[in-house]
Amino acid sequence: MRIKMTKNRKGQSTLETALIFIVLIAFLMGLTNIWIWSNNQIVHRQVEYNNSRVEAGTAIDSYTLKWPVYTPPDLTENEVILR
Amino acid sequence: MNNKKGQAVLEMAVFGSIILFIFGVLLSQLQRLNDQQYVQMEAFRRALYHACRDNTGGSGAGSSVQYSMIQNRRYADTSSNFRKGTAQILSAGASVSWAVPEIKKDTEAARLVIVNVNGEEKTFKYRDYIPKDKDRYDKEGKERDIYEVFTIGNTNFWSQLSFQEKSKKKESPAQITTDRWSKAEDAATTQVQYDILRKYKADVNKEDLLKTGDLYNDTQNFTNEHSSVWETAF
Repeated sequence: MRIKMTKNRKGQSTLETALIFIVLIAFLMGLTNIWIWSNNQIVHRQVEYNNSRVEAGTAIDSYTLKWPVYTPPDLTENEVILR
Repeated sequence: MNNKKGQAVLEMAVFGSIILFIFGVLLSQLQRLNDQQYVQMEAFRRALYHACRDNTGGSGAGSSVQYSMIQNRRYADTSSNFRKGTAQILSAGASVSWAVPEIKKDTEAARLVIVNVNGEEKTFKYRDYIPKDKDRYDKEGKERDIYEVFTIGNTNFWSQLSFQEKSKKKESPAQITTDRWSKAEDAATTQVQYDILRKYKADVNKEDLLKTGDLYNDTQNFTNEHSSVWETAF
């Protein structure tokens, strides 16, 4: 009897780990996509800011404030939840 | 042997909460990095705008602006209640001297100190605090033996949060309906002080505090209300 039970549970831990591993990878990939989205914002905002610096820093009385210089794209559900 | 049933799931449940906490910290850090860059850029660009526009000395005067910006934000927090979040204060400062090709004789550049707290801007004139006869340099450009300077002093914050949360679950054989609602009311008080110091030409390290006052001392109220309903049908 004892031998039979052992046999049935063989690899159970591996199976459970495999299932959880999928969930964990999905979490990690979702997080990575959020990181990429956010990191791109920092880079693009800096580029837009630098590009508009000459105009903003030129001595003309008609200068009007343009802010924000960059509007980030929306983070979509598809980018975070991988299907 | 029975005890080992579902051990991997149990271990995941224990370590899963730690992993989720780490994910939460990473996301908060990401948000903070973005917002800090945003505030720094905004402070400089707004300082530049005022330096250009508020040329109060007239054409050929130029202007100098010292801009301080403070923003209260609420970040998502995975380890706290539904939508409660955590309060964060971001601050940045910028100084801009807008110099037109040359400043006319007997004309002085406008010297402004601007404080922006959550979009509420207050402008002060440096000359209202430091008159010309107490400035570091006299009319001929010679440094005075004793002079006064104006600086931004301590910045203090107080915050009072009132948080309410309601959770309702309705079960029937066909479906489960979950209804969650939360309301966060934040009263944020910001105090930005200024100091007027007496300084000495002979000893650059010596200074006396002459006066301290408030540039900004006000309470702002923020309300965040969220509700969500979701249904699970069988």
